[in-house]
Amino acid sequence: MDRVRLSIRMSIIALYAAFFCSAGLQGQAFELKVKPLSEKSSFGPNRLHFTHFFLGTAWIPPVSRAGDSQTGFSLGFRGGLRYKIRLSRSLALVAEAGIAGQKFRMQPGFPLLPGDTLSFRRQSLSVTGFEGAFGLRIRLGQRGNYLGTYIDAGISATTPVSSVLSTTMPSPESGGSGIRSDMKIKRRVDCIRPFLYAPYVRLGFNKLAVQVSWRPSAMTDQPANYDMPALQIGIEFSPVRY
Amino acid sequence: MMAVTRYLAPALALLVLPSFSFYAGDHRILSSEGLEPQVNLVQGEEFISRGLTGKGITIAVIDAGFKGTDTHPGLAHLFRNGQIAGTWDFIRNQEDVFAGHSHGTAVLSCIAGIHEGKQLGLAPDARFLLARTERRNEPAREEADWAKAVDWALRNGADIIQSSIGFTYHRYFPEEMNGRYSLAARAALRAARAGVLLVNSAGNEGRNRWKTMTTPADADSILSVGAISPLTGLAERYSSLGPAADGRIKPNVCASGRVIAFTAGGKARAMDGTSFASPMISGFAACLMQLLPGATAQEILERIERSGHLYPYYDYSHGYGVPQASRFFHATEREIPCRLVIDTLNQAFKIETGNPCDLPARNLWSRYLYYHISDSSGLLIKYGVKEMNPLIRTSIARGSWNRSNILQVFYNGMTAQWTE
Repeated sequence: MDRVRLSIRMSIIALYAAFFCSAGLQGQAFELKVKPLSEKSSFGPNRLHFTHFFLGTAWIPPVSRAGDSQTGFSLGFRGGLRYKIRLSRSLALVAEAGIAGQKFRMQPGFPLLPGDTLSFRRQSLSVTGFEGAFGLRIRLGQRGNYLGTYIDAGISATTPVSSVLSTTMPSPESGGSGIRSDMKIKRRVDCIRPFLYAPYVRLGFNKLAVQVSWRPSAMTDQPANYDMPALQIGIEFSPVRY
Repeated sequence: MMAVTRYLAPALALLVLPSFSFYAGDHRILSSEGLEPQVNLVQGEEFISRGLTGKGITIAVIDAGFKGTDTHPGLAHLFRNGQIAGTWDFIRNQEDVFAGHSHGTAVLSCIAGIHEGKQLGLAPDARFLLARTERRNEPAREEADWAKAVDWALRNGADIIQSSIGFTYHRYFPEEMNGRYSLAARAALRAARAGVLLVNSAGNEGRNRWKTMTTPADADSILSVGAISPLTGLAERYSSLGPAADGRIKPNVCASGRVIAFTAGGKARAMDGTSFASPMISGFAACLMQLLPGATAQEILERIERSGHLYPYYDYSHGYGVPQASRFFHATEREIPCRLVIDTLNQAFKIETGNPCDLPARNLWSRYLYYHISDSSGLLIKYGVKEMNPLIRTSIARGSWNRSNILQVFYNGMTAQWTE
């Protein structure tokens, strides 16, 4: 008797299962809503809104500085998110937020010789912080599947979070021994301004852009014998596809 | 444990069996007649059995290059029988087109290729003009060359121009795909006015942001061909969607997007894309021109549209559907003893289609119910497909229904429409 009951129960379950299975086969294969044509015009570099990731390098040209040192090796990086909103077919506003860092090495202007009065062999300043920027984009090419051809002009502001001055100088113990040894001292620089502003111009072509920025003010809020040069040139890569 | 195995097994079998029979049905349809599925889908056997092979018709194929065409054994008959009427490479300004890309070889094989004794296309006996116009990353120059190739084909007496090329974002916006704006669309119109049938692939932009037709597929009076899957019978997701920017129905028709086609290395392999759906229709048109020698290109175009498996129904993924050769030989095929009833509920349409068990399993689309909702001007607002196997009733959500809207439904050759 129990077997019969179990059999009836299983049959009912099987019937329910078969019903739901067949109901599943009567599925929606697909359904599409046709977009109005006005929505389609937002395409490629002409798109109304667009946010993308960017990553760039910065380089400081080796210009002579006042005093006795000149620019040596320098390297910087920038990365973050950029948002674009279209104003017209040729104009757009861009805003970006990210992080930026630069390392700038100062070297003596001539070889270190015995009896030289220079106090250091090398000195480098590293500044890292958050960066925000706001600008206007003039789009020269409105078509394509990437960012197109454009010129950006705007102003960026950096808030330094870390600023370290590293000085390498001859070790006092090395004098007269014939063996050269260096001593490295690192210290935080406290007199960096809380905001560093820099107007910039960027020329972009699809995924690549060249950016030039210039900082009008000194980096420190008091006279100091170290400061990064005002001019920076960078190459930027945006791995995007509209 | 014994009871579980004894009673659960039949229950599981009940769950699984319907799925197996579902796919087995597809396989039976695809492998019938010993033809390749791409030929079978357009009922190519109707043409083949009547000796219609595109003889006497000249087809110009404009493509990226025909590398391997001159050495492929499956295309050797074209050279042996003198069916290559002319060639021109618009990139290098020379006659040799058997260099560059092999895309043209694959496309040509879908018209005239013979693989293991079976036709890959429908017009192996047509004459061919081969033009190479594509290079890399020069969309402006390529488009100009494409337009020149159209003129060259017209001068050389082409009846059909087959092109699987589309220009998009490099030079245009989607709203400019209106059949009048682009250089290619204007050249296509020139061909249509000259009495030549231009068959162009719709484009593979359905999954991309572009989504819509490429140009010259947007042009009026030409056949734009979308791709469907030979397994499901439904539009491939990559196939570009209509309508044209000015609201005209595009694509016009569709064909199998998955084909067996030739490679440059003398072999054949499966390939995907609307590029390969288009030559299937070019071959179809060549057979039809052979069948109806007095018909103009525009009459052929209309007849191909009317032979679509969905006609007079249409949507922006399938157009009028896959052309069916049997429509030209068996006029009564559409008469099916079945009913299609549309009833309205508060939020949905209830549709009864009759008992599908009464319907012969005729083709891949027997189980689908197609529907679209259009506005008063005929522009579709929404369209879709429902699978009706095995139940015979379904409902469609009304959504934001407007009083002037029209619901049209297609099921197994029957159409019904409803409006308030």
